[in-house]
Amino acid sequence: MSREMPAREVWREPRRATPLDNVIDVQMTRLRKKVDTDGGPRLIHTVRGVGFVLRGGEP
Amino acid sequence: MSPSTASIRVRLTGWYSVVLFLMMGVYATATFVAVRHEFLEQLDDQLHDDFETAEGFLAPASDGRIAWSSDRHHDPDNDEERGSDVWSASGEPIYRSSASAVLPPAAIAAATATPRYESLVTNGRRWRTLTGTSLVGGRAVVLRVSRSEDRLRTQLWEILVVLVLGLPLVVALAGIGGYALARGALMPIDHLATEARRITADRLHERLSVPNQHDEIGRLASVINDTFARLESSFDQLRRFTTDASHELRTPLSVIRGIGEMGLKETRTPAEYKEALGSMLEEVDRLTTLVDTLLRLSHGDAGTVRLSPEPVDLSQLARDVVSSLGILAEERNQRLRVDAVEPVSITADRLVLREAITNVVDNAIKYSPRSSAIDIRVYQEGDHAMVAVADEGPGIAAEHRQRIFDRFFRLDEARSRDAGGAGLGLAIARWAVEANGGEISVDSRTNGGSVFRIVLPLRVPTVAEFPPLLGTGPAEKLATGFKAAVNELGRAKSSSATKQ
Repeated sequence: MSREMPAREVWREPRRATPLDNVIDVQMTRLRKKVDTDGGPRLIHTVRGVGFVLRGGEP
Repeated sequence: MSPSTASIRVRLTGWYSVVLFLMMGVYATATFVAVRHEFLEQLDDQLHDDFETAEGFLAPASDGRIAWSSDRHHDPDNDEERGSDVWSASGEPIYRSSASAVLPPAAIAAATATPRYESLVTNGRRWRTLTGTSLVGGRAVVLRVSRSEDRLRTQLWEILVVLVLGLPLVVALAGIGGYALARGALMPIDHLATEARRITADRLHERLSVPNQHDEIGRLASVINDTFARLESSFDQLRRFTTDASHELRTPLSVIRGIGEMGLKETRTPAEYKEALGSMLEEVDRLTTLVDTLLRLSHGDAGTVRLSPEPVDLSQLARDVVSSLGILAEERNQRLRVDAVEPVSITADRLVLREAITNVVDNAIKYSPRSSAIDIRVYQEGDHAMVAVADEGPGIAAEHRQRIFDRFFRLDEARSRDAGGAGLGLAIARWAVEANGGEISVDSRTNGGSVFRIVLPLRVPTVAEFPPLLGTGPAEKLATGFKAAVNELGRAKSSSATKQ
């Protein structure tokens, strides 16, 4: 999932701007905290320069 | 009339001469007519005197006939210019002077007691006559005195010649004087033109000399100087902008190049390559955002951005922005307080205006210390809508307040780069506010923070009633969006769990 997707789908912004990018990053961090609980497999991975990916198993 | 190629002074002199010629012409004509009238009147007066003198020469002789006896002093006989004739009531000539002998006899029947003036032309000579009856010794005679108009005509002719020949001469002299005056008066303009031509893009700091700033030329020079000042500042701004933009674009490019070079230097693990590619993409992202922003700003400058004004509740808009950016403040433990209860309805482009408020609030969050408070207030003041964003940050020195909305202007180079900005947020905000007919300014608070104020004209919405806000606010949208995402994640997690 690239950052454009939540920008478009959730915030209904036609463009990506710096404030919104930061908002998305913070929201993803929080989501990760909730989903990737201690001990469990990490599911949300950040792919630098692209966005986020939901993937079980390997790092 | 096609635009004349003649210089102003030539045209000025031309008009001046034409007007003067007409005025002098009227004046000369009036003078001539008045003089001629006066001369003719004098002639008639003289005839009247002549008539009385002639009456004195008539006396009854001893034989009972009326005789003409002029004395030596008043002998009109040898005068070529005047004459006297006397007839008896029956038309018998009593006396005829030599000069007037050429004139036809007077009409005896028409002669009355009241003298009658008459003009006669004989052999090409004009005569003025006065005819009347006179009683001499109880008997009526017809007496006619006459004077030649020759001398009068000659005098009038001389006056006419003087007037007709003098007129062009006077106009010509006045024209020369007028031309010299106009040249003197317009000379400073030539000077200005020469000076102004000297000032080019490379020498914009130079100014025209203003000898006297209170006269017309001085005011003109001052106006031109003001224009040069504005031109210079726009030029400076443009130059600075170009330099800054090149710098900003260079930085990500050199980072990308650096990463690429590092990656190629030696063989690395796939994970390291991935990392390097990711870094490059991040920089490309940054570059793209920057170029996008610059493009938007330049579209704004060129006036090619089409706005779609609609009724907007400014309070609602501010609450939307706060709910969307609130998470950033939360991360920094800042309190975002919104005082926007009363709806403030204006007509504006919602998206563009939202961008302005977003950038100002984001700016406040970024530069305010942790655990401070940011107050956002929306209210109506007169016929203006106001958005005030007050923070408890370090404040902005007075000398920077003008430039803070300039592109790429940063107060603290190192810190704002860390915060991820390119110094364009407030420039975008200013553009967005001005595009909606408003103004943005910044002030310092007494306690050290700054207040950003957005003032927008309060136009009465063309739609009588606001259309109901579509769906729910962004906060709710955010919540539902994330709920859906979490649900999906949950499903994925369970499916991956079953896989294992």
